[in-house]
Amino acid sequence: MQTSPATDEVAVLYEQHRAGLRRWAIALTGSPELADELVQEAFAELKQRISSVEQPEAYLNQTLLNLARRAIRRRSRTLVAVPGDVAQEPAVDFDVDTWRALQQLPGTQRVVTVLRYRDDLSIAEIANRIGRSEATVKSLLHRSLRSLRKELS
Amino acid sequence: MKPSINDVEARLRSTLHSVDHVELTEAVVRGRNQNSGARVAAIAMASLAVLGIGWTWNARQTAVLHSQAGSVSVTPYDTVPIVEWERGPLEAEMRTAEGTPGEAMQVVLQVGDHGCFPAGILRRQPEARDMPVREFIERYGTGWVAGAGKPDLCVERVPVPDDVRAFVNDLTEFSPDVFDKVGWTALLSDEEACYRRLYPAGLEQYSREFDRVGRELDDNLAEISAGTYSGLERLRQFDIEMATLQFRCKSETYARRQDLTRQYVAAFTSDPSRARHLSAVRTFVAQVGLDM
Repeated sequence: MQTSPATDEVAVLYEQHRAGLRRWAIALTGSPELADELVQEAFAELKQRISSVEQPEAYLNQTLLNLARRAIRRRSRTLVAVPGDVAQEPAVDFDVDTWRALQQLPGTQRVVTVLRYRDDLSIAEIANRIGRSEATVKSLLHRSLRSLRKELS
Repeated sequence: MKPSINDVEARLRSTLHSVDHVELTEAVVRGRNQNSGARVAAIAMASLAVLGIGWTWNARQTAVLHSQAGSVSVTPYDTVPIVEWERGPLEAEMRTAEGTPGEAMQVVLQVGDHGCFPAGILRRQPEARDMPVREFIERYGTGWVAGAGKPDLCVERVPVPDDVRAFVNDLTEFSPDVFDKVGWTALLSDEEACYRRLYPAGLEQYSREFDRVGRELDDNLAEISAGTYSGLERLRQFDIEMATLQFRCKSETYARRQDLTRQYVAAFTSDPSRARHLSAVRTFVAQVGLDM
């Protein structure tokens, strides 16, 4: 079956970026299943607009962030978290308590925390990415750290 | 003692960067997701009820949703709520995750020729990707893959029209409050109490058993498939015990579930503006093969 150039381009991008985007989505949402779904969705949207998108990577990043935020908002209203068994053999740097505390944060707080501490973005960059003021981002981060301190004590 | 801000920041950095260790993350998340399937199954039923499909339990511990043209079964297994179309050309198994009624609706709407099986199984048994649900169950002796992670790969999707998406969004926005109001959350809590009562070893042990057996199943699929796995009978026995336990608890709440479903549907359909979306959904479902 012959594919279009646009499809080929998306396929190449998919090969290059899927794994990284998935890891990022897992950090944002806490769910590998949801992360897969969101990454697929982001690529599906890119495919529809590929002819008009100048920077596909940036488009994918922003689309995935938007999708993740929407998904987190939906889930936070209905999710009944049932603590269960955790990994028996933690990796060296993986802190289960921190991970779980992070997943308990309200959606936007979690997003800014991930952007700050995983992606090492500045306050201004985060504000730009999520469409909020720098003051709001600072406040969200402050509340996030306060919650995490409490949760991890 | 509270950790310092610096300490929290350091822990965040190292943990978030080690998310690359996906297998571990999946294990952690899997732990968090235990029992969420019960909620999804309930939501899926409510969503289907909105579409005019009633449901009941049959003797095989399976919730069966009847329509004029066929029926849909939802397995009772908490960790992998499988929606299976039992009649017609569609043999689809849908992914679900803990989530909203809207997501449960998407489960129903993502109708395709392919099943969606756990990634762990697909990695080891790639042929399962193209296997009809029934054949999968026959080959592996069970549709239950608890602890192997929720099905997370759907390779085919049917495009969903905008007005159907609108319906799904509507349901998503509408439902959380109503769920609590009509008492669904309390019902699920009572079911959990039932599990505690009937499973004296405790829910944590229950979850661990699920995970352990799921891993065992996942790790030995080749032998299980070949019929040479010595632990198969034990796995099946565990499967039956767990299914029985779940069935007993869900049976206790059966009448309440029916009543709550009716209340939920009444609340949702009380708004006449939703009629158009409902109509669109019915048209769409008919188009993809289910004559409602």
